This record gives sequence, structure tokens and C-alpha cells, in this order.
Amino acid sequence: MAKRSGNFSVAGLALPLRVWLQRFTFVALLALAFALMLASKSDSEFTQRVRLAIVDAVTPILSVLSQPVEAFDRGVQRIENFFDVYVDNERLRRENANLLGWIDTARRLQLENHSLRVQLAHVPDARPRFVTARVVADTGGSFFHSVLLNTGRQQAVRPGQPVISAGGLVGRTAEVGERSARVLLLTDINSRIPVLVEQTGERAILAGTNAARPNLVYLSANSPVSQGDRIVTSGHGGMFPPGLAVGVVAEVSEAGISVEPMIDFARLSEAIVLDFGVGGILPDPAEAAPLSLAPVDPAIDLPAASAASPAPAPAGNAARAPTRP
Amino acid sequence: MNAALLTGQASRWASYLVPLATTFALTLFGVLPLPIPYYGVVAPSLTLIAVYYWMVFRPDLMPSLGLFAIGIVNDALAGAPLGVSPLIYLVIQVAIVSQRRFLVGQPFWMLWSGFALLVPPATLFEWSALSLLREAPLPPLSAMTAALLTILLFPLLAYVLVRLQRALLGVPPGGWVTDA
Repeated sequence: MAKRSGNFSVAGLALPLRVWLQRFTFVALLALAFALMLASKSDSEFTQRVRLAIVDAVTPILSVLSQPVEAFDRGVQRIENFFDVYVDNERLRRENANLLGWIDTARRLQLENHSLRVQLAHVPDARPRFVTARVVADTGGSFFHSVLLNTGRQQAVRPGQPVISAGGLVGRTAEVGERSARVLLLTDINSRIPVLVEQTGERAILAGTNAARPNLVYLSANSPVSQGDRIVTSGHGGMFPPGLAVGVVAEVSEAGISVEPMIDFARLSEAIVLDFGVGGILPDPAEAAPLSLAPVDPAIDLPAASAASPAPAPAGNAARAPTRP
Repeated sequence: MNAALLTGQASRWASYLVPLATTFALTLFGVLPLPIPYYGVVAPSLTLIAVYYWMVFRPDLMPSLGLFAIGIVNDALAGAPLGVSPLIYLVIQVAIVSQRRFLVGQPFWMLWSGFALLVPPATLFEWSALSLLREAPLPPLSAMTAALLTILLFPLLAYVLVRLQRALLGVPPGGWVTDA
């Protein structure tokens, strides 16, 4: 109090100016925040670029910071494994015995498949290229389900590519910067994945709900689905290759069919970005080739080219002809 | 002597960055992929705790521009529309500046209660803004859980921040941390 009245003549003038400046900054920033929010709503290129630039800048730091977290988790897992060793051993023995039987079946089917494919002049699927990356951030909290990978355009990762990890599908790449890539998890409320019920071949869409278990929707009303059925990608729409394991039906009720993902998202420390040549949202390379779509990245077109070259392809009854009308 | 003065001044200037730096560090720490089941879904907002703490004890070192920048980074990392967090932090700034006298020098539970009063409206605003921007009502349960966790985590983080403030800024906040 005393200070204020004492300095009235000198500092008294400077003070309001500073206060005014502060108030002006405050109001300007508030307005800017509002403007940015509205710009983000319309998905403007500017806000997207700003976001990518920030994430790109921060990813190297996160990459370093997440290392001790990962090391700690590995240590914990090692201890857990130690206690589980007996049970695991038993389970593995049983599984091994079971799998030995499957090897015979697989060999037989492989031969049969081969001969059938020769008869059909089948064009083999493009072998996917892939990029393995570390999960450096688990972002979004309760509102968005996404993770950040320390890979990006530098490694030819692009938006819309499927991301898998040991065990099954994780999601797809959404925003990709130079050295960072955001993966939209299949549990996110915006995630829609065309899937099949493996047992019945029935098509459906796996819709994320922001909860731990996504729901199976658009399944025909009288199709038999029961707990424990495996859900795999159907490959429709060209976003995901067919046959990737997604999850297992956890609950069938009036409210809907919920699916337990194959992936334990809490333990997700590494992920693989697949590039199976179809390029996500981009048209099929077989269709894209004659159009000579300016190659975004020449490396991307390699698998498609190498897949097409060994094809003798008398386009008559080929299952997947290299060129389509 | 001059050099000593310079380093002294440099370290003082550096210490002025402590509030913003810790807030930024907690923002980064908050998105690390911790191997805790469901953590990602109900992750508490560490940034909010830091913003509140420093706004109460060192508002002079938490300029609007700094808050804005940290909010933008927070949104960018979350993949959220830019601007939601800055808006929340700026509103918190106004709220705390007007209510500081009820919080500084008071027992710890007052400080905590103030935070507990602040988190629900902030969460509600975030939830409704993001639901509007995404054009789909987001499930409220995980947001509520995250808010609750944020409130529960406050004492632990506040303790760390008190230690930090004392070590680096040399001003003991309030009367609720006894000298050991």
C-alpha cells in the first residue's frame, strides 16, 4: 500500500501501461485461441502444418524420454516372466504338440494352393514393405486414442497405412510428419475398420468407441456371432490388407457386440507400419500405374512394380488382373 | 568478480524459467507411454496441475504467452484441435489471479480444494469443446475418471513442485510445508 502511494508519480505511469499491455496480450491470445479452434474444426492446412511441426520438433525429446520407461517395462516383464516360467512352459508344450499337427496340414495346403494358383494364373499379392518404429507417446488421454511413432516421411511412411504389432492390428497412420507419425488406434471413436467374422465370413465394421473394446456394427441381423469368434480385416475399401488379426468377440448382448483387441495397448512399445502397395486411401497401384500418378515417393511403388513383373497374366480368368478397365 | 556476477545473473534468469520449464516437462511426461493398463485412456492432466500451482505461487513467471505456447504444444501432442488447451489455461489464469488471496498462505487443503473446484469445469469445457469440434459426444466416463485422477494426483505433484520452488526460486510457498 505504502509503496504504491509513494511511487505514484514515477512508477505510477509505467504501471498502467504495463497492465494495459498485459491485458491486450491476454485478450489477443484468447482471440487467437478461438480462431485456431475454429480453423482446426475445418481441418485447415495451416493448423495441420503447425501441429505436425510441433510434433516433429518434440518427437526426438519424447524418443529419448520414453527409453527409460521402456527399459523399466522390460525389467518388470522379465520379473513377471520369471514367475510365469512354469505355467508358460506347460502351455508352450501343449501348443507345440498342437502346432506340429498344423505344420503337416499347412504343408499339404501350401502344395494344394500352389497347384491351384498355377491353374488360375494367380497374381501374387504384393509383399508389404514395412517400417518398424518405437511408440514414443501415448497421447490424447480420455478424448483421443492415438500414439506417436518415431518414424515419418523420411522412412516413406504416409497417412492411411495400416499399423500392426506382434499379435494383430493396432490402427492406421493418421497425420505423418518428417520424423513422427500419429497412429489412430482402432479403439478411437473415429476408427472404422472393415472386418470379417473369421468363422462365418460375415462382413462387418469395427467401430471404435473410445472405450477399451470397440464394437462390431453393420452385421446382418441374423448372423450367428458368439463369444470367442476371431475378427480379422476383410480388406474391403483397400485400406487394410485382408486377414490381419484384429480381435476376439468378447461379449454379445442387446447393447451390441464388443470385441477385445488382440493388442494390449498398455504394453505397446513397438509397432510396424505396413505398406502393402495399395497405399491406403490412394487408388490401387494397378489402377494408378496407367494414370501415372506423380509418385509421392518412388520407394513406395517398388513393391507394386516387383509384384507385377513376374505376372505372366493372361488377363482372362486371373483372380486379380494387373490392369482393370 | 564480473564473471561471478554474470553467472549469478544468468542462473537467476534461468531460475525464472523454472515454472514454464517444469510445466512443459510435465506436458511431455504426461504423454509418455507408461506400461500401466488403461493409463492412456484415463491419463491425468499433469499440465493442469503445474499450471495451477505456478499460477498460484508465481503468477509473475507464468505469462499469458507462455501458457498459450504450452497449451498449443499440449493440443498438438494430443492430436486435438489447436486452441482448446490455451483457452482453458488462459481462463484459469484469470480465475486464479482474482482468487489468489484465498489460496496463498492458506493450509494445503485450501489449495487442494481450489484445484478440485477448478478441474470439473475445465474438464467439462474440454469435453464439450472437443465433442462439438468432433461432432460426436465423447464418452464422459473416461473424462470424469481422468479428472478425478488429476485431482488425486495433485498433492504428490504439488509436493515435488514445492521442493523445486524452494531449491531453485528460494521462496517457500504458503505456510503448509514445514521445514524438515
